[in-house]
Amino acid sequence: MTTSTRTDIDLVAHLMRRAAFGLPAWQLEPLAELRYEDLVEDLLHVERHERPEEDLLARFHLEHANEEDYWWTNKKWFYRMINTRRPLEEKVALMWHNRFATAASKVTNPLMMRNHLEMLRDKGLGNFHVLLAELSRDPAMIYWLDQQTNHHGAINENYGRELLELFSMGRGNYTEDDVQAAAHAFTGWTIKQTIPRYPNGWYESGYVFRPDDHAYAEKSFLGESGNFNGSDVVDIVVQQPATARYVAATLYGYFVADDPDDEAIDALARVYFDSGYELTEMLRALFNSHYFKNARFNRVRSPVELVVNTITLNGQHRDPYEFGIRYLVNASQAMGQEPLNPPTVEGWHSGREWIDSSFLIERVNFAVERLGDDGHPGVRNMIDHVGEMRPSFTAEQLLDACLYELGCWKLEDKSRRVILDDAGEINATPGNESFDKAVTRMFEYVASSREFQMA
Amino acid sequence: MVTQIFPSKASEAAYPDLLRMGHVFVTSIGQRAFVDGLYGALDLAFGNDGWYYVLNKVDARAGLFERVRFAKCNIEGKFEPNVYLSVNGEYEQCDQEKFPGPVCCDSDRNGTLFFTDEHANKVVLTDVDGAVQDFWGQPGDEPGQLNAPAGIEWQPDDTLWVVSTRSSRVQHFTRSGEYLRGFGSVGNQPGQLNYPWGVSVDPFDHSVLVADWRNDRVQRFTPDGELLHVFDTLGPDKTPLDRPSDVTVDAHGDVYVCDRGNDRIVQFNHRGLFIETLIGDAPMNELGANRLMSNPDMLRWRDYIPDLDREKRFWRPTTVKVDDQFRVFVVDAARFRLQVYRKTFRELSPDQIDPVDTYTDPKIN
Amino acid sequence: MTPTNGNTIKDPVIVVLQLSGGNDFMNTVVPYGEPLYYDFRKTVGIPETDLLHLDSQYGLHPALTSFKEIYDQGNLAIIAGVGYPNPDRSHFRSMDIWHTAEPTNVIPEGWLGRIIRELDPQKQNVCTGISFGQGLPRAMYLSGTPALSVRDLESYGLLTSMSGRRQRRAINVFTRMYAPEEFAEANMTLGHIGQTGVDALAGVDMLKPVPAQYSSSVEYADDQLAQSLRGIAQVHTANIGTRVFYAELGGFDTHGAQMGTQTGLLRQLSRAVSDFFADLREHNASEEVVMLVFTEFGRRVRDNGNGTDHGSGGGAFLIGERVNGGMYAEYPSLDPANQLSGDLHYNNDFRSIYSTIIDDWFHMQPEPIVNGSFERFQGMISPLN
Repeated sequence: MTTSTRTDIDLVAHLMRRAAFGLPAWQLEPLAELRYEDLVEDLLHVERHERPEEDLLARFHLEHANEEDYWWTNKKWFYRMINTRRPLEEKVALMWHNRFATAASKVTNPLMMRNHLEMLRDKGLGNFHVLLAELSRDPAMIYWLDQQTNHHGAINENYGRELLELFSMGRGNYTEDDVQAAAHAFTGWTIKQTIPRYPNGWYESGYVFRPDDHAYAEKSFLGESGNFNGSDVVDIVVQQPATARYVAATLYGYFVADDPDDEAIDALARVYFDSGYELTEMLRALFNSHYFKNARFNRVRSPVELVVNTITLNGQHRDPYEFGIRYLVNASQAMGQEPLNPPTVEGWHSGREWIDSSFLIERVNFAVERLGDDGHPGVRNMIDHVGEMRPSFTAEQLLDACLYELGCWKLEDKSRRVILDDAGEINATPGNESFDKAVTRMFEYVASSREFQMA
Repeated sequence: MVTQIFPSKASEAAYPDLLRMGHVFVTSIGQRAFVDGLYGALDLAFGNDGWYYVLNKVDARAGLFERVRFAKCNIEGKFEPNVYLSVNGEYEQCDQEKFPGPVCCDSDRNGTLFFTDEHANKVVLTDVDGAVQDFWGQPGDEPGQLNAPAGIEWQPDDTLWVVSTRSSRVQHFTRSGEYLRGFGSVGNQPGQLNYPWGVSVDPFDHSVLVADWRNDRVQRFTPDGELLHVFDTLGPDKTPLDRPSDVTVDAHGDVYVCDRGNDRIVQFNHRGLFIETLIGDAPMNELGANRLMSNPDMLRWRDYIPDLDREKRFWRPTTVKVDDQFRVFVVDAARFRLQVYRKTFRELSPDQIDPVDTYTDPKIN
Repeated sequence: MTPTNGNTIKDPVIVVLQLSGGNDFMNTVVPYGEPLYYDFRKTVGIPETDLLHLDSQYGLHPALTSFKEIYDQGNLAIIAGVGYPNPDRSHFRSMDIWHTAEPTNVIPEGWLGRIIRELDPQKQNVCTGISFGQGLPRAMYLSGTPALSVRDLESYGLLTSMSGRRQRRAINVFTRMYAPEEFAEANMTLGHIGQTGVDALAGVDMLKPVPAQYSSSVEYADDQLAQSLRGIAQVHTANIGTRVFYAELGGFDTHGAQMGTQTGLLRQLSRAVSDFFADLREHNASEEVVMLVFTEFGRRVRDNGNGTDHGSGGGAFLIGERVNGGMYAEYPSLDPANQLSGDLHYNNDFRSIYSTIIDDWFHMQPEPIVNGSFERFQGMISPLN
């Protein structure tokens, strides 16, 4: 760090890997001219930037005019993640999608899944109270957890249970009676019957409250009693210390480290209450904390993060006319994460479990293929930027320059030794094909490394 | 600005005077199906054999139908087998690699179908059995080149007007691809274009109407590119056009705009005056009913829906065309059907209406 | 360890063949003796004279010629009316239910994954389970249990975007970067990734020589299923210890044009299965293989004019020399009073088939794998040993 207004570029790269999808050095350098706190503010204030326009994407993918397919929503999502100037919004939507995991496998109706994702994006960075209230009215979620079969006199406790267990407090903080009470409170919260898909395709549904199916009665829930309905349950749930810790742990686990840290989570939980459940405030505290700044390369990247980072670096799919965005969904799926179709309500098993032999081969092959081809515009940009750093490069200088260019990556000593050993004695000078080859080879080695699986 | 709304008497003469009596629903054709249905429908061409040929976008999802496909149906709602493209009898020659992006189509009197491929940057000519006769097109933004061609309209003099979407140009070719003329530049000023989509030619004055998709308007030009009129408003308190995808002119000079973003069809008279909107009024057809009969649970669910009107409405219509019997065909893309309406009217003789130039101020009686 | 080449004792192997999209069972095993069939299938019905008659009541779809032969040889078991409680007509959900053997709760791990874990608890052979096709099916997924997904054996591998010397160098770099340290690394996660990379390479190295070792007089068709089964035959005859194979044939979602579409698909199926077993016999490697053919659901009883929509109550086949052929289970009634919302009412839980395979073929306890106790089909499989 040189001056007070400049930020260590390694730290900028770290912030952008975590709060965004990572950037190459040629895009990080201008950001490093700004104060770190201002960078954080710019990420948090999503309203400062427009969302990417999607009309042209839809125009050049007219096969999806009918929105028949949740993969279309997935394709749009990848397009957004690659092109958005509000990356935190998409990151947070991804985070909540894994927490409030809702799957097209059961929901089926692609319009409901689309609206579900829009909800996560619109509300995911706002107030947790609002988010949980919206979630409880979300048609996809209602159908996913059978809430439409939760009737007065014949309850289905699925949503009541998961709300407490998976979406807020966590096991051990409530009783079975609380689950029952929550389920009773949510009776009558259901969806409208949609027009069947035959013969003319899908129709949207919507939340509806049916008073005649609601259990109007005194209920005792988490130590309070009253004639509670679903909103009251949400109101009570968000006030619980366990909920504060749940939200804090969710943010910590997603943005900081796979392994929890009690002290940091307690601090975030305090911000939760102090701010009145504002997620933006919690994230402001998180991103400005020492534990965040020091938490480098300790998280395994999810397939979506790996794919979007790779494509961000290689520069594909900026143009909505471009073909093949569906293959990004394929790639992520092959690595074990098909967005909008998590395996269960518990979401994907993340962390180390992202890595198994089949998935790892897909990860490595994908990143190496996309970063090793200088025909992609972003790869070209990176090669050119590397070339501007020095008149000539030794192997070690070239490796360091490439690691820097890919987003200030770090390799363990062993990996460095192996790569340098392979490179041997070189003296690479920019501006010719052999230099380009040497750079893309370095990109490929880094992309195939263990370290590249993390962030 | 009377002069803008009322063109000169000279060009007026050809247009018949009309008592417009609205539109009557005729039929809806098709259902959500790849076969005997209009899954992926985008545009429509009238065959010279009484059949309608509905161009379907290559469906990259299913992996089964990754070829250009025309659904073939008629006014009775009957379907013949889909028409797939072939070259010298080889279907493999027309796979997704060769023609990945069909988008618009038209036909001539002799049964040739024309379609544009926005990724191959080609205009393709085929017979009604799908045998490719010719294809042409050079990619690029220069005059005579194609960059994501979309709207295409065949003319009785055997020429074609083709929209080049990504170069914001509208161009006139012979049927074999020889460049005749063209116009257009990118922008949002009057006369400029922004990702234009559909195109149509006025049969009376040969002016060219372009669905200026991303500028939310339709513009009328002379064949040499001089701007004549901008259709962007329907009048006060009415929703303006939103991403119109197509435009057509009928034999009275009435202009129909496929106002895709608003899920409606908008009718103007030839002077650009707003007449009527159609929002879709298609009850379930026989195909659909038969389909439902094999799905007892769905039949039961329908009893719990108070408002079934939604299923009559257009959803993401892409194309509007009018045939020689004043039937208005709407490709109701997201509902997998063609909705057909008949324009009802009386043609007036000159003595039944005052000449235009006698009309100066509103009168009351 | 699994016995390798030259052993006289063979290990049981299963090949699961998934017919995706919901194969119309009523037109696969046709109840032509039931007049109601022709009432409900006015346009999507197969005339009696076209069928391959099994008996006076039932006939196979005319395209399933090899199934008829296998049936006549006594090696094809037909299980009609297969399903599960509260049928789900979503492809994805229904497929998940079959894959996880869990119809009520949504769970991530698959029944074959659990079998693989039992077969190879020490994870000594990364090739114990191999799926051919696009991605690993959930049936074979179980966190921490290796199973490989192979699109195409010839091109399978690591760093496949490269070739020649560049690829050899990169694989060498990969191997050395991922090699475990002599002492435990401080970063446990990197250690795990390293070990996984080593396992992945081991799988690649085991599979790489397989195509070259294989020769056969059987000429498979060019379609995806035939090529998948050819790959399975290559791996199986290479004796690398693979016990669970998976392959898929898609396209059975015949809402329209069913007659032509299903005929084409069943023709592919018939030919590919016939070639596959011929290939195995040629390599004296057929006895230890049983093949389960299943689909996620059947289709509506009444046709929709030229196709059929999603239904329930499908059917399955078990094929192999150790399979005692015949019609197992009662064919569900077509009587409208017995239908379930316009579908055949299932009368056999699919987990009964799984339990039979797990118990009689693999000699394992089925209950923990299918999460419950289900009746076995007695005598359907003769165990290997």
